[in-house]
This record gives sequence, structure tokens and C-alpha cells, in this order.
Amino acid sequence: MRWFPPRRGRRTGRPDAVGRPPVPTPEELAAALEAIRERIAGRVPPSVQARVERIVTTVHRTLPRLDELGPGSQQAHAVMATVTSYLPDALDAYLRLPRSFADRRPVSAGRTALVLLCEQLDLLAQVTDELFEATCRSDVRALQAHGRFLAEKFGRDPG
Amino acid sequence: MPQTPGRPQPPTGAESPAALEPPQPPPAVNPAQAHGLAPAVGAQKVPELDRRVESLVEDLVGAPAVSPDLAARTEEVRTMGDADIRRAAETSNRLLRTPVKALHSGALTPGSKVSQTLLHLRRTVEDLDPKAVAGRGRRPGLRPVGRRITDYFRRFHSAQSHLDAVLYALHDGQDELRRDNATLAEEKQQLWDTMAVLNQHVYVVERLDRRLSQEIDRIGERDPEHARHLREDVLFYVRQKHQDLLTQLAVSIQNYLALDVMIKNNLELVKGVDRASTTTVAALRTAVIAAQALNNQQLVLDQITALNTTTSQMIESTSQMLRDNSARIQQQATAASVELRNLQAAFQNIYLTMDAIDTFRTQALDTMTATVNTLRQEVDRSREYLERARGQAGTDGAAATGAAHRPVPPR
Repeated sequence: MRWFPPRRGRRTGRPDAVGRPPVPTPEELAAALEAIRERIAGRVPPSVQARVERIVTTVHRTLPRLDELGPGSQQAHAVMATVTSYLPDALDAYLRLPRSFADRRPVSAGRTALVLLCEQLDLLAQVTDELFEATCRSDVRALQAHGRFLAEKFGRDPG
Repeated sequence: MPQTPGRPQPPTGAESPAALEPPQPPPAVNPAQAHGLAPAVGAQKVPELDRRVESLVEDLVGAPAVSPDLAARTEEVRTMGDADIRRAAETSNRLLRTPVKALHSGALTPGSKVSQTLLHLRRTVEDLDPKAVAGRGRRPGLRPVGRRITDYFRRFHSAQSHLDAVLYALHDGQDELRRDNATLAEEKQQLWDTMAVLNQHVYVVERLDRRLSQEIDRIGERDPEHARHLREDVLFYVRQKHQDLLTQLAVSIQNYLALDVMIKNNLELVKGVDRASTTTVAALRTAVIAAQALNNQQLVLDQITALNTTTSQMIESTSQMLRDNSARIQQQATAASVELRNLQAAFQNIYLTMDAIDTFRTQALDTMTATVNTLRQEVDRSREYLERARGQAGTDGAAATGAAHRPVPPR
């Protein structure tokens, strides 16, 4: 749902009056996703690599549809913040630890840092999946409404 | 999380629904009550601790006076829990910095990211306030009203990226508050563990005191000299140790309660920012509806005006139509003012929310100041006491007021 018709250059990346960082542009987000991939290449076990790849793929699919969530949407913020902070912060904390310590030493209730990271990545994967579905919802509803309209107009079910 | 007895419950109903509730400042924790407020010794631990006490008592009482054995046991009592006390004291000093920092540069202060963003939101919203538009113009067919309305919604349109950025920054701000709370929760857990260890020592020392006193009384009947040695050289240290432990435990509890206050403040602020965000989005939504409704009316007004310029032959029918239409125009003008009134109400909600946040911030800062002052006093007092107790006999004479608050274990 759009509030007012989208203006060209709506997300121009211009800082607002207070000089605070504005909403990240689609280009910035795409670059950030690529940077995440590069950051972990060859530095993490396959279990982490696979999980990150899954999240990045889902977010890639979600980004072009963020407008569906409306302006100021908390969900849209969550998608963008996943790219700019939630995902990189989790990975950076893991990468700062020496690899053997992180992967083998139990640090929290018998779990290693690697296990903690994988748990967080699983949570992010689940959340990003849900956020992607949220961006599809309005189109799904439009399709359902169209089906109802066709059925009513022609007096029979399209299905 | 279990409810804590005796804590003041937030008032209900009377205040505005937008009001935010800052937590009460915790009173000074009395060392005498520290044992009861700290995490209780687990039932499974008790037999082991009791055995330790009995073994100590046996050795202390059984050893001949002025013997290396007695000296060794006495030293054991004198240094019992010292490492844990020192660790707890270091933690207290470190944790004192946390609320002090929050007081000077935390989220509640005017310079914080959250505060600045809310200020920016207020300014943006004030710029978009429809009150100037809705003020006049109930007379039907008056073009300038329509133009004012069009201009107003154009301003809205161009402020959109502004609002986007502000709302995004508000969500960022909430994230910071939540991250802060996660760190504070970790520190609370550490403190809780420290308090549990100290409280175990307290249990041991209190039991040791009771058992030793019993034995000293018994021995005193046949050997007063031995009893005197035990009283002056052993029981004295036991009691000093007891006081050391309770003093440090009280400070740790005070720390714990201060962290609790900070966590609750952050949660209230998250709630406030949520409301600021949703009321702003609601006002945007209302503006869209108003714009659509008023744009349609704008079109109708235009058509009627155009009708006014038809030929004289149409004047009759036109004036008839005008008479009919003037009622409609009146309705539409009223509807316009209704739409704008709705919009004004939506804006009013935003102001109410932001005012509530400002009120909360002021109250919460006062609470934090009181909390920090109490904590600082307690830490200073305990530090003084512990330094004095190291070098000589002495007890801390100052008694603090009773504690109505009790620390709740972290989830």
C-alpha cells in the first residue's frame, strides 16, 4: 500500500535536516548484502555459510517489495536493519573470536560460540522468511479479490 | 517473573492512557536485611555447608589455645570469602559507572539519539499541522480554501522522505534501548550469581557464630581462659566477617536494584517511542483519507464554478441547480471541515504522546539521580567500612533505612 504516489527519487539518500543517517537506499542495501558475503568468505564453517546464504537470498527477494509494507513500517525497518546491523553484528562478534575457541569451547550453558551464532542465524532466517511473506500479502489479497470478482461477474468459480 | 511483595503498583485509570510510568527509586538497602533479600541458599547446598561448619567448630574448639592448628583455622575464618568480597566490590565500583553514565548521556537525556529524533519528529509534525488550513473557509465555493488544502497536501507529499527518515531513526533508537537492556540483563545475571555466592558465605558464617557461641558457653563453665581466647581470637573475626559480607551484599543488592530501574526506564521509553511511531503513521493515514475526500470535493466545487459561467438561457436552470448545489456545497464544506478536524485530532494524538514522553523523561531522570545518589552513598560507605575493618577492629555504626524492595531473580 502506498500513501501518496511514489515520487521519483523518494529514497534519495539525502540526510535529513538533523543530519541523521536517512533510510538506506536500495543500492546501499544491495551493496551491504554483498559486503556480508565477502566478509565471511572462507572465514566461517559451512554451517554458517549456508545459513547466511539463505538469509541473504530471502532479503534479496524482499528488498524490492518493501514499499508494500507502507512508510514507517516496523517490519520494513526490521528487514533493512537485518542487512545493516542484525546480521553483520552477529557475524562480527563470532569472527572476532579465535576460531578454535569459538568452535570448540563451551561458553554458555554448554554451547559453543559457533552454536550460539547458528541459533541466532536460524532465528534471523525464520524472521526474514516471515517478513518476505508479509510483503507478498497484499498481492495475494488482490489475487483473491480478483477471483471473487470474476466469479461474481461470470457466475462461476474460476477454480 | 514472580511479583515482588510490597512494591508499589502502578496507578490505573486516573491518568491519561498515553502516560508512561517511571519506576520508583529503590531505598537504601540495610545490611541487616541483605541476607533475606539476596538469593537464598539452595536446599541441596545446606547439608554440605552445615558439615563444613561442624568440621570448623570441631577443629576450633578441639585445638589447644595458641597452637598452630588453632592459628591455621582462625586464619581460615578470617579470610573466608575474601576473594568473593573483593570481586563483588570491584564489580560494584564498575557497575556504579553504568547508572552514572546513563544519567549524563543515556537515552533519557536530551542529547541522546532517541531524544533528538523525537524532537525532530515534533518539528516535522508541527510543520504539517493542519490547524492553519482548517481555521477558516466554511463559506461554500471559496476557491482559496481549496487552494490552501491543495497546498497543504503538497507540503505533506514533499515531507514524506523526511517522515520516512524520522520513523526509521525512531525504530533504530528502540533497537539501541533493547540492546542496552540485553547488556544490563547480562550484568544482572552476573550480580545475581555473585550475590548467591556471598549469601552462602553469610549462611556459613551465621551458623558458625551460633555454634561457636554455644561451644564457648559450654567451655566457659570449666575453662574460662580457653573460652576467652576463643571469644577474642575467633568469634570476633567471625562477627567481623559477617559484617563485611552483609555490607558488600547490601551494595550488590543496591547495584542490582539500580540496574532494574535502568531496564524499566528503557522499556517505558521503547513503549513511548512505539506510540509516537504509531500515532504518526495513523495521522499519515488520516491525511491520505482526508486528501482523497477533499480532492474529490475540490473537483465538484470546480464543476459548480464552471457552471456559473454558462449562457443566460441556462440561468434559470442554473440558479435552480445552484440552489440545490448550495446545500450540497454546504455539506461538502462541512465534510471538508470534518476531514480536517479528524486530521487535527490525529495530530493532537501525536502531541499528547510526545508530551507524555517528555514528562516521563523528566520524572525518570529524577528517579535515576536519586538511585545513583543512594548507590554512591552505599558504595562509599561500604568501601570506608571495608578499609577500616582491614586494619583494625570496628563496626559500621551508620544504619540505613529498611528496604521495601527486593531483587527479583533474572529470567
